[in-house]
Amino acid sequence: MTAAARVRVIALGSPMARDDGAALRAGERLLEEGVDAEVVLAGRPGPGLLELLEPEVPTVLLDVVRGPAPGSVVELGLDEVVGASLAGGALSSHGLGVAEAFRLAEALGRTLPPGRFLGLAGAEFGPGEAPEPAVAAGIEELVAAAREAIEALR
Amino acid sequence: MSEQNGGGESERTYHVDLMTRVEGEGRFFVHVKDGAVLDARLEIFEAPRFFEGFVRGREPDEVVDIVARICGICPVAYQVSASRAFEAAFGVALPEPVRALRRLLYCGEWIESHALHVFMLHAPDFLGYASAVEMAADHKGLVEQGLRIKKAGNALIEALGGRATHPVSPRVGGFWKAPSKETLRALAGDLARALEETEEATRFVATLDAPDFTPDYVYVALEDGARYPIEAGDRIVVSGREPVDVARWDEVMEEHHVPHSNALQARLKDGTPYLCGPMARLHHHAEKLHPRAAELMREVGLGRSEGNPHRSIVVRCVETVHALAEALDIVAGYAEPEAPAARWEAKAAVGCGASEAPRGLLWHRYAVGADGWVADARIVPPTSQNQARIEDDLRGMAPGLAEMEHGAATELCEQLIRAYDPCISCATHFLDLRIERG
Repeated sequence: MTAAARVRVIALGSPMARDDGAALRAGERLLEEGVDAEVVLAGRPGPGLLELLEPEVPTVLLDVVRGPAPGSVVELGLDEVVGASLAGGALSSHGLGVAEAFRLAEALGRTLPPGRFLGLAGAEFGPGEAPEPAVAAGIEELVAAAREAIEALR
Repeated sequence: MSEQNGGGESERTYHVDLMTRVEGEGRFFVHVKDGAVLDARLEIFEAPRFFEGFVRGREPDEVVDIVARICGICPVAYQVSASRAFEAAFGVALPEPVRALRRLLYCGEWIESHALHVFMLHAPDFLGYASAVEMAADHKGLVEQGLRIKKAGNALIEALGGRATHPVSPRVGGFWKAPSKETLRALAGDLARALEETEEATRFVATLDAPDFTPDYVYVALEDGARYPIEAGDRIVVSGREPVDVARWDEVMEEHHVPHSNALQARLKDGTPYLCGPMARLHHHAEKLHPRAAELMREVGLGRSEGNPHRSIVVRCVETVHALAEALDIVAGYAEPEAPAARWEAKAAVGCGASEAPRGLLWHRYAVGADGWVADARIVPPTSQNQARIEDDLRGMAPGLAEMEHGAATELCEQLIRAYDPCISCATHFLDLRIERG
């Protein structure tokens, strides 16, 4: 990857946990419809997310969040993610989720890339392939927001 | 979170309601009265997994893709155990180059998973930090070293599996596509550096003070002939018992529902809990380690029957050295196979398959109908096999906890559980957001 400002889109989530797969579906839509960006369907990379966050590569992070109204899209700067997430263990069921990966990057003195975090709010994370209708409907908005963010970062 | 309650000086409870630095959501509860343990429970309260239901009505290769989603840390283990079960059902034998590629892929997973646990999840317990993030402020070099080692494993998975998380190339009989010799050779430099760094890290972690605790384990691991068991094995070895064929797992072990957990607990049929994972593999197969790992084991004074679960950090490091050294050997000798997968046809059959996930024995069983679709599935992960053993360990530790300050005792219980590297389950991945804007 060169510093030619090709934007990287990183889609996170699990397609077998209902709403948790919605951001991945948005990433798949971008790939299917075509987009001038590198799209990485990263799933749940844990600390591997650090490897994908290269300071010179503008990045759009697509994820599912919990808290806001299901189906709504939340946009943050990458540097705002840690501050917006709840502290401690409640923030993720995993030893190293997105915010922990960001905190680790900060602790290691790594520079975050310029970019945006786009979170589609979900509510139902039990086993299942299909997101809830309200969340499924929000995928369109997430894709549109991702395209806007890509344009703005180019 | 922990608190003391109960009926007085002689009665104590120790519990943590949301364990950190484990995969999945779980909590533990230990109740001691007058030095006697009244209760010890590892409670797994994450939603039950329904993957066994998901895969019914699917074709075998679809199943290999679906089960990869069970775990974000060890998807290859699920893919390989499933593939081996279908291969047993359909009578498929992998050509040697394809078998070696599968082992190489699995080495990648051992490297990345063990590095994650050693450096990010387990090391903070020894060095006195609440998390890897806090540890990184004072031990940046150690954390960066762990990330580099993990990256070398991820690179292997990406080269063979198509991507680092939830690989898409593995299938029944081998792979959809085999990597070129050049692709693999390009990884050799990073693998060699990771090998040296892991040897250095092993020497360091071997010096760390561990709590003194050595239960009497029944060790359970796969056996794969003269090879250290990783991606294959047709027999299961059990301490003090006759080995059993993989197809007979459920004649020797059984799973039970327990009221306090959403996961099934496995024990031997006679009720004995057992240990699977790195310590069990080393106990049964230490003589099969790669010479570099065997030499390192001697150098750091690690015995094959390391019985202290807290010292599993050293065992994981030695296994990582084994995986890196073997990966380098496979890469050096790699010749592209004529075909990336053995040919096979689905038929009505039942097959069982197992592999050694980073956390231990992972057993799958599938029944396939005449239409070629899966009619029934059963998946037994290593953490459900270790869960009863963990609870026995908590019972074993509990009398000594009364001598300790309450917070330290609670922390010691949590450290014990974490030493097992439990993958309680990875069903969801989401961020709780609190937006506060003026």
